[in-house]
Amino acid sequence: MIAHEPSAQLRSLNQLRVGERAIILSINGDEHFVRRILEMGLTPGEEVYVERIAPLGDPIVVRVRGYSLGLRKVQASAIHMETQSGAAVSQPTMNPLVQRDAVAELHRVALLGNPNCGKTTLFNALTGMRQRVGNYPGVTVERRSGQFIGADGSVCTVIDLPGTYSLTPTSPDEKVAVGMLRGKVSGEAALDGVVVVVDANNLARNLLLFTQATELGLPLVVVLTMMDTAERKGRKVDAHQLEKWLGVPVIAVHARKKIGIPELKIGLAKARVGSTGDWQNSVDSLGQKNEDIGARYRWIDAVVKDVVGSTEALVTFSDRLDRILVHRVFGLGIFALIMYTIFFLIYTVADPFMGMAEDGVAALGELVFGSLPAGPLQSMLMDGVIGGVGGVLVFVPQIAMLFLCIAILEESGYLARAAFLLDRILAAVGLHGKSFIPMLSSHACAIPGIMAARGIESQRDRLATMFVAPFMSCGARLPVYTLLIGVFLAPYGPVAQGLTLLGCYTLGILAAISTALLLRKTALREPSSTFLLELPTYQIPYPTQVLRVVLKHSLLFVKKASTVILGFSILLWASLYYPRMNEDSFRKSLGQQGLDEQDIENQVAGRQVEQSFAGRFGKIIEPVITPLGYDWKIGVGLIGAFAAREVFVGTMGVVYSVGEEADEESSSLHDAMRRDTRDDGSPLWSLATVFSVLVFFVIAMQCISTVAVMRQETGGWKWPLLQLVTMNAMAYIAAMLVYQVCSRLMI
Amino acid sequence: MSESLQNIIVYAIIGVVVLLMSWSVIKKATSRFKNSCPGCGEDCKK
Repeated sequence: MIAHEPSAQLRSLNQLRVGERAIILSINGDEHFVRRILEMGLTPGEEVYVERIAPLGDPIVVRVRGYSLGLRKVQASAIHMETQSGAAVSQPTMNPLVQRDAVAELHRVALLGNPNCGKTTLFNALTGMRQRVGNYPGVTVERRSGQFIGADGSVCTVIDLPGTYSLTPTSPDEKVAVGMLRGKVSGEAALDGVVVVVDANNLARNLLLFTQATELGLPLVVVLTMMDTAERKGRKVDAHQLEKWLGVPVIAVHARKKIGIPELKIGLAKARVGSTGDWQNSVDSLGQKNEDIGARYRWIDAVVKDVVGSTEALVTFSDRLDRILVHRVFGLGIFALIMYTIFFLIYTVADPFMGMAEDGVAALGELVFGSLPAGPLQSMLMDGVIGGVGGVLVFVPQIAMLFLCIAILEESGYLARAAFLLDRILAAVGLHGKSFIPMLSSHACAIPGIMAARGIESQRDRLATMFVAPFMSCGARLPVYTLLIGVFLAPYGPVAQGLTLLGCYTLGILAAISTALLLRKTALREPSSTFLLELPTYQIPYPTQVLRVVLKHSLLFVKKASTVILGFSILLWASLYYPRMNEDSFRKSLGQQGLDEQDIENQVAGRQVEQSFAGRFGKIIEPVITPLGYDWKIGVGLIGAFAAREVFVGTMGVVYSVGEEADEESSSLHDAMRRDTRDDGSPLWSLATVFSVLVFFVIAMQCISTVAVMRQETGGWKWPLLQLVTMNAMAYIAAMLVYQVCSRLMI
Repeated sequence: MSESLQNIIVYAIIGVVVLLMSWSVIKKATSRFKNSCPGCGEDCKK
């Protein structure tokens, strides 16, 4: 237990009301918990102000050392407070660190800093690379390196480390950072020095990491970021004065505007090995005991008092915005409204662009039809390439819109608030507030979502989050949803279409919740970990950064369509086109039955597809998928979707194009699907079938890349295989139930 | 363009696609996704 001298009115932090201030008296708990609380700046003797409570009564947000920190009430209950300030304790005089001689210019440096302090923005500014940047902690979960030309013209390497609050790591991303700094990563060259990135808004907490970095024995340079927002908060930092205290070069940088980058390059030539300071006298073994954190903060407090213009916190735009967005009553409603707006925008804004893309694909088809005589090549280009790839490419506007919305949320700083708002709900189902960020990312793609789970300290919470993240409806599922909802729900109006889409996303979330609950009661029984989340200052998203994200993901989607999907579409077309049957004798027999020419053409096309390789394969698997309401064509689509979910749309495009007699009046995929019937003449695509396919796609694990990433992140095959089997079994059972129930209700 | 010529071109295209896709699968299986994120395509290590 770490304690401060008591005075009067003792309470724990969770008992304080909103707006109350109190002094930290002591912290109870195990060593790791106490250490992390101390590292976040909640040291005995420090004043804490309760800013707000989440809508469901937990967690709470406290203001400490000039920044906002979210923590659960159960953690707050371990922090004992005194609500009446004790007698002023005289602060011992602190001394600046010793300035050692400058070392030779650094050529291999690492960027070290707290999460969300601007390391990746600085990395991009230095290297000209375009790594992803977000305004929430934990964007960088793996170290990345790049190169830049130093002040002396030589090539330098810079490594962007994941953010860490201290050099005693708790989460996997922090371990990556500390492993690199301590030279414990095999195959990695040693570092020449470290650039400590310090957020001017959170000077005290960021300087704690600096004090630990001085013990690495490496030359250091400090970069001050976010000076503009600190100034707006009335907390202007005197960089020159700070340099005198720290004993190493301090350079103020505005990385997005590239201000200070040349000075930083020059500064790297003046880097000095950091020296330890007054805190060293307080404890014997630094970095090992919790007591040293308090000693470091006492020194840091003296530094901050001297270099920051005013430590009085002004009410900022972020604070005012939080009063609305994280409001006790309206917070969750606003969150739901924001989520609804995203889905609304994906459909309404993207719709006209999708229409234009469809027209373009149709025009291309006509061009091919006019320039090639009938035959296998024409069929392959029209039905395989244009039908398959074109059918997927028309969804680019929707994908772009989805990524635009997610990028804006990431950049603005709202994601951390959403994690705060939802922690109570997520904790109740065996997840963690921080699970929200991986789960939202998974709505774009499960792979970055699973990797983002590295920011969660507890292995149990991390595993649960990674396990359920692929239930979120990713961008690859969107084309499938849109195709089916667009074709078969259109007669019921836009409201029914919107609700069905919302239902798909909701079902994914419900499947994730129920699986997390199941895990909590079976494989992952340990109690949930601590929740400590910094709430960053809101910022207006940078248009160039947002557009870069949108462009990158849209291009990746196009690349996927022009490689994997193109390949599969051609192979699928071939499996539907070959072997060719003897059309003449079949026509003759049909002619003898007195059928008209159109009926004969349709029957020939249908028979050709049925006796093709894919048709025969589909017939083999039909008994397994019949209980789900699917025929062999949907079965082939489902198998293809294991390569990439979007392939299902391409498959439908190919299957229905090959089955059609190609002419200039050839009907669209939508019409062909609507007209398709079963052997008994009933429509194949009844609502029961449509809902069954949608449910299957929502729940099933069809992405091999996700399996590979799960294996990489969990270090074995146990979890990915369990995930694969569980999700697909759930999908099969749920789709069967939906079809059987709906078809009995005559839907 | 005669049907037989079209058939030859189609067979050639299918052959190339099969080769490219097999090569891609083998490459992915042997690299074990160590150097790039198979989903986002980013080179996470570099």
